[in-house]
Amino acid sequence: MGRGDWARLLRFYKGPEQPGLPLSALAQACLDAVNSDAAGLVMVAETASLVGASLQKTPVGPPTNTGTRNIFAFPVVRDWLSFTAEVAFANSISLAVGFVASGARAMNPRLLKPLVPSGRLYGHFHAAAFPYRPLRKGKVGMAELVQPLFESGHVLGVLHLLNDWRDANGAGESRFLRGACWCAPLTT
Amino acid sequence: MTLLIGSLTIGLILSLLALGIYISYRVFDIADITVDGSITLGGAVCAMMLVNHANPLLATLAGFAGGLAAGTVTGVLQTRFKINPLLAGILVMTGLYSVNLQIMGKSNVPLLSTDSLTTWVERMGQRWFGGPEVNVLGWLVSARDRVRELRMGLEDRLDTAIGSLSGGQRQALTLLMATWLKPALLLLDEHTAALDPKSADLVIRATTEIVGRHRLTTLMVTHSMQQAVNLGDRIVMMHRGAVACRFEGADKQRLNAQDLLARFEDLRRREMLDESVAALLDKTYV
Repeated sequence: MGRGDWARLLRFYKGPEQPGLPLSALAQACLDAVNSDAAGLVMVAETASLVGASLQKTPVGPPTNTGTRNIFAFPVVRDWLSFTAEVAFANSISLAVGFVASGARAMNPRLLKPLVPSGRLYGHFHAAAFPYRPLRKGKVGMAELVQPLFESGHVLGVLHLLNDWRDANGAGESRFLRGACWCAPLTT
Repeated sequence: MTLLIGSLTIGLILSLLALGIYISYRVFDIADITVDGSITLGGAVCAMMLVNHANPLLATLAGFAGGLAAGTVTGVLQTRFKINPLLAGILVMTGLYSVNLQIMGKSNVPLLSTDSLTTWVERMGQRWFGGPEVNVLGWLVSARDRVRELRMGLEDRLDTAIGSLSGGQRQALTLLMATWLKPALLLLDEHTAALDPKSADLVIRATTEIVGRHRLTTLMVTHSMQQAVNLGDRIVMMHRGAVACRFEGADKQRLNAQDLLARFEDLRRREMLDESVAALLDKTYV
């Protein structure tokens, strides 16, 4: 859990030739903006694509030799988890929340996972996708953008954002078109 | 021609009524007009049995028995209660108005979509004349009537080349031809897939009507969830050559198109998580 005020509001939009801004680039921009090696962020953005896993039901896996249960064993994993192996939630509005860290602050393998193949940037993000609605431009409060999303009462999906780095047919990472990102450095 | 045939049919039916009065008058020397109500009673009984899909022969016999029962009542009134024959006939005839209304529940029961003895005769005629249509004085009577059932106005275009008809009209005609001889099993393989929505709707309506009228066992393949939900008694959802799930009875009744889409989405979702994704998740999470 993080406490405190937001230090920065970043407004971003993709360039004309870009398919979308990758999550890792936005996370790095937040670290740079708050001048820290760890940050928490909340982002409301128009979605190009979300990549990640979502829970379908409580996981129960087959027992292993050690007596534990491997919930990621195939095909049991299909029963409780789904994965966006192709572009999902395009042109929706995403509310993404998470932490990003680099360098020495990223040494928590249980919570933080690599955001880039080089392993220099780590993070843990969850996102909810909502039906599209226009986002206000300029300086805007977080509540002003987030509250209306829940007024419709319709959530398209909730994901744990993960990168799909499979060689042949990986979907890559989540990408966004434009939006607002509030970030703050993590001090402890 | 249809008007002439109709007039002839009605005339033949009413001639029975005239015979009823004539026979009673000549044989018993009484003016018994019970037949005015008894023929309607028989018709009402027969009609109600036909619309409830009873055997046409059984329905006709039941109608005949109904007429006999009405005549018996008149006879009892005359012989046991010593009521004047003319008055007894009027009494029974008048009473049967109410009885017939009770049997039918309304004043008119349409028989347009039901099989009757005449349907059997029609089929026998079709078989004897060697084709599905009977040529009466140069008129293809049966074909015209059957094509009229499609309600597409094609009965007036029997001379039009099939190739110049729209896709929906061609498909509806194909359906009519496929069901002409009442197949034991009707197979419909996405028969509305290549049609625009309006034509597809017309063909589906014709399908529902024809299958319902002839009570055909039908296996219909469709990718339209709405069609799957609206039509038929059972839904079997196939995926990659195997039965994924099936719905029938109350489950089928409760089902809507969104439910079916959700089932497909669930199948797709499971397929997207293949072994390579499982390996990726295992590496990422653990």
